[in-house]
Parts: sequence; structure tokens; C-alpha cells
Amino acid sequence: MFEYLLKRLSVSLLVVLGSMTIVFIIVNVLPGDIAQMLLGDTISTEKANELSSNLGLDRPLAVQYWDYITDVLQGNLGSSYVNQSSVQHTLLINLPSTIELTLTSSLIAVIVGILMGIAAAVYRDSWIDSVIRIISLFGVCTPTFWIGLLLIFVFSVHLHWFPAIGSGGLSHLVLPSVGLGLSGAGMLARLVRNSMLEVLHKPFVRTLRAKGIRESTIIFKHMLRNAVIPAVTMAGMIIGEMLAGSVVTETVFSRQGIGKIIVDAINAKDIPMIQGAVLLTSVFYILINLLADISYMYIDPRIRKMLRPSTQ
Amino acid sequence: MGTLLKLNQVSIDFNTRQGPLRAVHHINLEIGTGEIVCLVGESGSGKTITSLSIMRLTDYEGAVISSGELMFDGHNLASLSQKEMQELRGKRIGMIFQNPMNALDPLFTIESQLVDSILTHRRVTKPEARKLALELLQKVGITEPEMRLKQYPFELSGGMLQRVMIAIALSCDPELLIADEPTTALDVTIQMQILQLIRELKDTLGMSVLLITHDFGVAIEMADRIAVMYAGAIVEQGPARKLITAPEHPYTQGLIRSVQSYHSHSEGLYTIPGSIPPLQELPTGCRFHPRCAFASERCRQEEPVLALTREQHQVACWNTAEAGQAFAEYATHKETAAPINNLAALPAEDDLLVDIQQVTKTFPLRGSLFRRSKKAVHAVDNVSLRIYRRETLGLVGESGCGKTTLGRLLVQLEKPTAGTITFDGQDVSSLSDREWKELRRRMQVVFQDPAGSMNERWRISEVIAEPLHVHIDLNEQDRMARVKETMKLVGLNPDWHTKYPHELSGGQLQRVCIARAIILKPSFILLDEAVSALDISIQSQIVNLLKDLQRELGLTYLFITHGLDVVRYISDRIGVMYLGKLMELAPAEELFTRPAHHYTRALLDANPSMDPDHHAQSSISDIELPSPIHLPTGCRFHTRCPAATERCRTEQPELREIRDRHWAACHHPL
Ligand code: SF4
Ligand code: SF4
Repeated sequence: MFEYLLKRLSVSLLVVLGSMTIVFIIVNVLPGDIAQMLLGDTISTEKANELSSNLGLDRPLAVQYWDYITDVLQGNLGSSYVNQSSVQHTLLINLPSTIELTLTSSLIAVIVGILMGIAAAVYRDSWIDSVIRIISLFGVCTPTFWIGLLLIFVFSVHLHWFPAIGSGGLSHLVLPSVGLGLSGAGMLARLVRNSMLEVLHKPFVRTLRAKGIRESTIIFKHMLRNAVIPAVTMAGMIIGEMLAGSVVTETVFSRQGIGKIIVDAINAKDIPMIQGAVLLTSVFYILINLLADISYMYIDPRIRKMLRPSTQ
Repeated sequence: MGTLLKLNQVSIDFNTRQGPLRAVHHINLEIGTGEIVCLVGESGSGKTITSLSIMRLTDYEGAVISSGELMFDGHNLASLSQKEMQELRGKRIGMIFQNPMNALDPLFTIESQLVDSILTHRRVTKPEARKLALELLQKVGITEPEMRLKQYPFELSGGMLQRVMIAIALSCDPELLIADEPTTALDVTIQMQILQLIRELKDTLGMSVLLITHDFGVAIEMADRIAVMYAGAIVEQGPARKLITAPEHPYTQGLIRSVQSYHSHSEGLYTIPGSIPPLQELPTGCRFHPRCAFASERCRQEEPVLALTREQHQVACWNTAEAGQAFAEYATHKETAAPINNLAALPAEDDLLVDIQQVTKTFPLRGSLFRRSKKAVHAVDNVSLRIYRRETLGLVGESGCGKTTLGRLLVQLEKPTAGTITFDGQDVSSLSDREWKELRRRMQVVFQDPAGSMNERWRISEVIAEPLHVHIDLNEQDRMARVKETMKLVGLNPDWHTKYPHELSGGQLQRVCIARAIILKPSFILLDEAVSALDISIQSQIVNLLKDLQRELGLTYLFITHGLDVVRYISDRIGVMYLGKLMELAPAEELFTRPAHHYTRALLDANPSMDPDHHAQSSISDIELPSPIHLPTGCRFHTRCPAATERCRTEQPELREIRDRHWAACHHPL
């Protein structure tokens, strides 16, 4: 078990390093002179060159890459090209709001998705199943920004139930989370429905009935637990999706957060900020998947024991 | 003896898109207190759905009890609500199922599944339930019960799991135990142990047992009374012994004669022609008439109902007198026919086709990141075996003995870790790809699951012609001619070449597989459990076909199976494997009449026979099969052998010839 975790962790670290490298390459091969872009067209080439050397942009790429990696390893993400503020600091301030959104939308996705999946499986081929199928299809197929706009249109412009944009209290969180969560819920619902139906025909369900166990216990204790095993890996992915989706959603709802920072930084060609934000998101993404794997082990004893060193 | 359960004119329908489909028609069945009743039938006979209907589990399988009563201790089970049934299930009626490997929830421990069952029906506290669970495991004879309680289903063997299932079913002292094919998925030595356990528990607890099986041998071992089902109806029922010795329904007679003919060495096995009709296409009148030798005009028109023919014995047939007479004649004739036991009749051992020399195959276990695992599964360990031209070599053994791996090594589906395999003078492992492809034409394979081994979207003709594409070029016309000719050879109607696999029955599909195997005119066919999944009446047809083909085409067979009766009938010589080792090798009759190895003896003892006076028994201890990773030292069988000595524990016995052409690897042969 410990060995397995160690292995997974080292792989994760490699993935982080990989994503850092890819981002580094992408932002550095962007066409155009960065200093020139930062300063605008009216500035002379000398000025631009001066800025370049100040920022260290005139050094060879390999050196820049090496410095970047060593800085990150020392916990230094650099400072913004735009306003010289510390990247760590900016990210840290904005992190809570993104985590908030990711968590609430993931929660919605997981809870609603699993419940819809169960209901669809238990009442398969009835109208309940059909309605759920339509909702999931809608959630999966519709882009999140469009759902977001739709929600704003209905619930704030028309009904005035929730604020349309901005960050703040719980009420600001509802629409973005629902909009974002719906797509994940759709995916999960379909998965859970299918795996519930698969479990339904497993011989052990027949045994449970033959034992006289109550149908509700069979569904919620036994079938669900077996059915969520494939869903757990998926849930990891979905939470990751939510994280990625928050980039778009934060923009649509003009919310504060990492997503907005990334968009702004891209527009401003603020390379340290882009790199920092991407690094942070990939670390999160990987952590979430690691967590999903661990809970997977927790649920399935077969995997747990397989990983334990043999005692025989 | 009072009646505990009485099925009165019960009919069961499946709900299908095309409307209700009758699966079971007007059956009457009684089970007395303390009685074991066996419901015997082939697949599609409706025996399983009948057993589920008693628990009203049919409701969950898309079926309904459409008419009749199921009287259990004064209640009509058919009219109870699911809620009321829930009270009964697991408490007064317990049930165990066919495949114990997937009958338990994989995510919960044995303890939690036992305790759940106890707490559902008994007013006890959780600690008390835990104690009861432990006692139950002891009662069903599980070794190291404390440890087992903490384990998960995947950590237990099939035999142990079936014991756990029995423990669960018995947790609330039910009055009736329903066992649906409880030993079909288990090895023969384990089967006997489980059957013995059921019988012992029945005696001590005084419960009744309804045992569902396809195996007449098991039924005879266990039953007080037997009911035979065919295509959804009970065709005959009565006290077990008389039913076996003097059956009156032509179907029962046919089945019994089929089974018995495996031991008779007559020319060909007795077979019932045709196959079981699908539910949608039941014939008019007597549902057996298209396959019945006694069918008369009346049989085609009018459906016979169960009628008393002698004491406690009911038959649904219009012509019982004639049929009974015919069977009596057969029975007397059988008594006088002496079994052949002739070594000289064996194929000459001069024409070597396959030579397996000291072949070993180990599968390394996956190690962890930091250290390579030194452990390995020893699937086949230093086995030498020769197969002579035109003979059938049988290879038997229980699961995990390595017989299938040996077959796979032979046809290069697996590469040996050590040793050589020579086919017709050529070392197969040293061949180039082209040479191997050439050789492969002459060695073909037929597996257990015919449907799984063909593309379901191909027409039959395409399936059969497949090897022709790979190995030789023929024009379309010649290929079709070759396909049709081969179809005729295996007893398939050549006009069926445009059909798809799902339109054929299991027996017909296996004929397709055989056709595909012989179309290239091979000299050798590996038959890996090729008839094991088939119903007895179909199995004998296929075995006959294989024998005929062997004679006509001069084929050599390696026949791998766990079925002892079949292997005895079809083989010239038989090898017995245990945990990767060849334990005994002898001519078929010699092996069955004078086994030398203690393991062979145990296998034969455990095999249920058709003789009501002879009880199968388990002559080896209840100890589980050792794992192929941690093999016993010395003789691999010593942990279970009744004759094991100190020498057996330390020194591995070599295979040696103890009698003429009879080889055994044992220090103290029988
Ligand atoms: S009723 Fe007729 S067809 Fe049916 S089993 Fe009897 S003799 Fe055969
Ligand atoms: S060698 Fe010993 S343990 Fe093995 S079968 Fe013979 S008597 Fe039994």
C-alpha cells in the first residue's frame, strides 16, 4: 500500500514537471517580442531591450528554463510582469474562491449525479428514467458557458432570485455551481445508471433477496457500493473537469478566482502568472486523482489486499 | 411424514415484448418434511425458474406465477406480498445457488454477510450474532473459521464459499433448503464434500431439501424422490430408486440410457435425437413427441398429464406400457453384456505424433516496484507425454491442475519455460513463422464455449471457411463446396450455411466449431472441454460425432476435460494431472478399474455413478487444494492423501511404469 502510494506520487511529480515544461515551451515560443508586447507598440526598441534584460528574457531558453524550475522548487513563482506583485501572493488570495466553486459544483455533480443514476436504474424504462436521461444529456452536451448564460437569464434577469455576476456570499455561488455542476452530474448519472443495472443482474443480489434483506438495504448498501466503484474514478475526473470548467465559469459570472487570473494573464502575456496558475491547477488536478485512487482502494477490498504485501 | 411444500398446477410466464411466454406449465410437486427431492432437467427445462418461484424471486427476473398455488405450511406463497415473502425468505426457506464465486457481495466480509442474515430474522444483539456466525462456520466444516470471518469472498475457494453460502442459508434454521445446482461449478472431489455436508445437515436439522440438478448421478446420490422436467413440464416423478431402475417416460429412459452407455463400450453412445425445443416453439400435444421413438398419433394431438402408474410414481405419457417394456428389455440386455477390457485393442504405440518432453510452464507473479517477485505459479511442471497417431489421449484433473495450460503449450498459444514439444518430428518452438503456420494447419483446436469462439456477425459458412482464407487460396465456388461438404460431415444441414450463430443451439454451434477445425483436414485436434458445457442428450451426440470423425479421417485427439465418464468412454489412454504434475498415465479401462495413484482413486470415488446401490464418497480429507504458488514438498498430493508417509512429505515420486503401459508417480501405489 505504502509502496503503491510512493509509486503514484512519483508518477504525479513527473506529470507536474511535464506540465510545467509544456507551459514553459508554449508561452516562450509565442510569436512576437514579449517586452514589446508588454510595453505597447509606441515604445522604442531600446526601451524594450532594457525591459527584456531586466526580466531576464534575453538569456538563452535553457537557462531561463533551469532558473524557472529551480525557483519553483524553492517555492518562488516569480513576480508578475504587469504589476510586479508576487505570483504566489496573487494566486493565494484568489485560490479560496476557486476552491469554493470547484467544491460546491463537484458536490452538486456527485450528489445529484449519483441520485439521478440510482433513480434512473431503480425506475428504469419509466418516465422518471426518461426525464433523467434528458437532463443528463442536456448537462453533458451543453457547453458550461451556455448553461451559465441561461441560468443568469432565467434566475437573475427574470426571477431576480440570485445575483448575476460577481463574488461574495453564498447567493453568488449558487448559479455558477449549478451551471458547472450540471455537466458533471449528467456524466455521473449515466455512468451510475449503467453500473447499477449491471450490478442488478449480479448473482449476489439474488442471494441478498434470498436472505430476506430489505430491498432498500439491498439498493443503498450493496448495489450502490458496488456500482460506485467505476464512478469513483470518474468522480475524480469530474472534479478535475470542474476545476477546469471554473476558468470559463468565473469569466462568465465575473467571479474572482484562478480562472479569471489565467484569462487576464493570457490577455496581458503575463508569463510568470500564467505559469504559476497552470502549475497550481495541475497540482490540484493530480491531487484529486490521487485522492480518487485512494478512495477506490478503500471501497474495493480486492484492490486493497492486492497491494498489501503478501502475508502468506 | 407431513407435506411441507406443495406446488399445485403452477404455471410461470416470462414477460417479453411479444407478451407472456410460458416457461413452466401446470406442474405439481410435493416435498415432505425431512425429505430430499431432486428436480432433474437439462437446460431450458424450467427447473431453475421453478425453484425461484418458491421464493417468489421470479418477480425480480421478469417472470410471474400466472396460475396455480404454492402451499407452504398453510400459506399460498403465490398470493403473499413481497413484504410478507421477505419475512419468510432466509428465515423459513433458505437458498443456495450455482456459482458460489459470485453469489456473495464482493465488498463485504464473510462475517458481515453472515451477521446481516442473522440480524434480519433473529432477535439477537450484534455480539451474539457474531458468535452465532462463528458457530455456523464451524458447523459447515470450514477450516480456521475465525480467520475466514474476517476475509472477503475473493480470498476463499469455491468449495469454501459454497460452505459459507450454506451457512448463510442455514443461519435461521429454515424448514426448507433450496439448492440450485449447488455443485455444478465445483470440482468433483469438492462436490462430494458439499453434497455430504448437505445430507448431514439435513439429518441433524430435520429440514427438507429441494435440489435442482442436471446430473442424474447427483440426483441418485441425494434424492428420496426425483422429478424429471422437460421443456417446462414435469414428465415423471417418483421414489428415486425405482425411477432410475425402471423409468417409464421415454425422455427419462433416454437420459438414463445415454448416461449409462458411457460405461458400456457399445458401438456409439445412446442418444436422444434432436434437441430441446425453444419455449416459443413448443410442439403440440406431448412436448417430447418430435424426439420420441414411441410417439403415436395421439401424442401429436393431445397433451398427456401426470398420472399414477404405480405406487407414488407419476408419468405424463400415453404409451407408458410400451416404453416400460422396451426399457426392461434394455436393462436385462445390459446386465448380460460384459465390459470390454482389452489392451490389445489399443492403437499401436509405434507411430509417434506428438512428443512432449519435460515441459515446464511457470507464470511469474507480478512483483512490486522495488523488488522482482521470486514467486511464480507452476502451471505445468516437468511433464513428459507422448501421443500416438490415431489415438485419443484423455487428460483429466481438477481446476488448476495444468491440463489446459499443457494443451495451450502444445498449440503454441503459450511458450514453455523449459522442455521441448515435437509434432510429427518437428520441434515446434524452433519453427519460423511460416513453418509454424504450415504446421498449424495440421493441428486444430475446439474449445468449450462455441458461441464465444466465433464472430456473431458472421454467417455459419464464413465461420467454417475462416481457416481456408488464412491457410489456402480457393475460389469462391470451391470454398463453398468445401464448406457444405464439411457441414454434412459434422451432421449440419448444408442449407443452414446462411444462418447466423444466434440462430443455432449450443450443440449445433459446437458442430460448427468442429467443422471449422476439420475443414483443413488436420491430423490432430485439441479438444479442450469441448463437450463439458453441453446437456447430456446433446453431449452424447457430439461425442459420437467425434468418434466417427476420428475413424473416417484418421484423427488424433488430445481430449482435455474434468468429466470422468466422457473421458473414460472416448479415450484410449488417460493421463491424470494434479497441481501441474502428471500423476498417472494408463489405458482408459485399466485406469478406471485398477487405479494406482491415490489421487486417481479419490477422483473415481467422488464421481457420482448411476448405480443406486453404490454411493460416491469422498476418500480424501476435507483439506482444500493447495495453492499452485505454495506447492507442498515431496509428493504434491501428500496433504490430502490417506496413505501419505514421511517419505511422501520429503521425496518427490517419479513417474514409473508399474504395470504394462500403466505409469504412476507414487511411492506406495495401490
Ligand atoms: S406421450 Fe407419446 S410422444 Fe410423449 S413421451 Fe409418451 S409416447 Fe412419447
Ligand atoms: S506418493 Fe505418497 S502422498 Fe503421494 S500419492 Fe503416493 S502415497 Fe500418497
